[in-house]
Amino acid sequence: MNDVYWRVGFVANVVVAVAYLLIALAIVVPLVRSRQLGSNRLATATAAIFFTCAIHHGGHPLHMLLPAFGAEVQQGLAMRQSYDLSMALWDIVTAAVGVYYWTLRRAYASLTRGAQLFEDVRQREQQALELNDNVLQGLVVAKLALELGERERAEAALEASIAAASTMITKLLVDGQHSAQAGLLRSTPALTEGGKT
Amino acid sequence: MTRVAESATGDRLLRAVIIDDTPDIRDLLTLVLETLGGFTVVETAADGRAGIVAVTTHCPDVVMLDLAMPVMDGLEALPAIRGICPHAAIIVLSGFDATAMTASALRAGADAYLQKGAKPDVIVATVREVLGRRGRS
Repeated sequence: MNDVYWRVGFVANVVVAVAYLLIALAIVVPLVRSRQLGSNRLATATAAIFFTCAIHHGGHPLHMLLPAFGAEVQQGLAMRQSYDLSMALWDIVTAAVGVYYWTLRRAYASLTRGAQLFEDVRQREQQALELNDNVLQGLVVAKLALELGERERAEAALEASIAAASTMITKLLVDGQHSAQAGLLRSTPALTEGGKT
Repeated sequence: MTRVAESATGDRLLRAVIIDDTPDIRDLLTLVLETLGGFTVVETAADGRAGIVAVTTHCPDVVMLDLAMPVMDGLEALPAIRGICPHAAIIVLSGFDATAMTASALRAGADAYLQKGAKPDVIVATVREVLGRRGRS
């Protein structure tokens, strides 16, 4: 029966190693293409975890295979012997999770397509920065115009800033696909007048 | 367009170039510098590259420079402007918080950093203070 367990473990670990290696590549390749390998440290670390796990799981079948070629016989046979039902089952579950992940990636291909995932994040950050800057510039113009006695220009700038801010928060609400309740419920009251509510 | 201006007493007015992508800010800064500061704004530009051309044409006494702009940003344009016009007073006027950006701006060649929202008299005082440091007031 022990022969069955290690053979199951062998196949499952090969599947896990391939799945994890592909996940690491699926993260690293878009990072390299969008030049974020150094700046997006969370994504790089995630890829590193999957890569090291792939090496770890890939090592198991390699060790179990080597005795067949007369190498590392003692260690290889010991690893085969150590396999029992629970180890084999856990390896099957781990392999199933890896395979399931790749079926999900295929189903959500438009969301996870190569560099687009990370490039979209960068573009959205740039858009958010520019939208916020539009609001800021409008407020700066309004303040300076008021100080120079140009009331009409100040009012026009304030109206433009309010419109820009309104567009921005509405877009955030819609793009975030919040439910009406979750999106409209604030964590703290709105601040005006230098911190007074 | 180049303008050579003199004050009522015949002295040459100190010349300024304003580089900012917001038209209203260019207009209002022109008003501040000409009305309150007694400078003459010889040209305005809407991005860093056009700003370099303007500075090359006029080699002004004062350059008011925004940071976030299309085509070429202010930090990229700054070393070129400093190289073209080594004696100009370059004041960066930006919406970014001064604590975050002052060091970068000064390192790139600016003489002073003003956060947008500063009062007109503070803007003029800062320009005059930098000119004084450079011996050009």
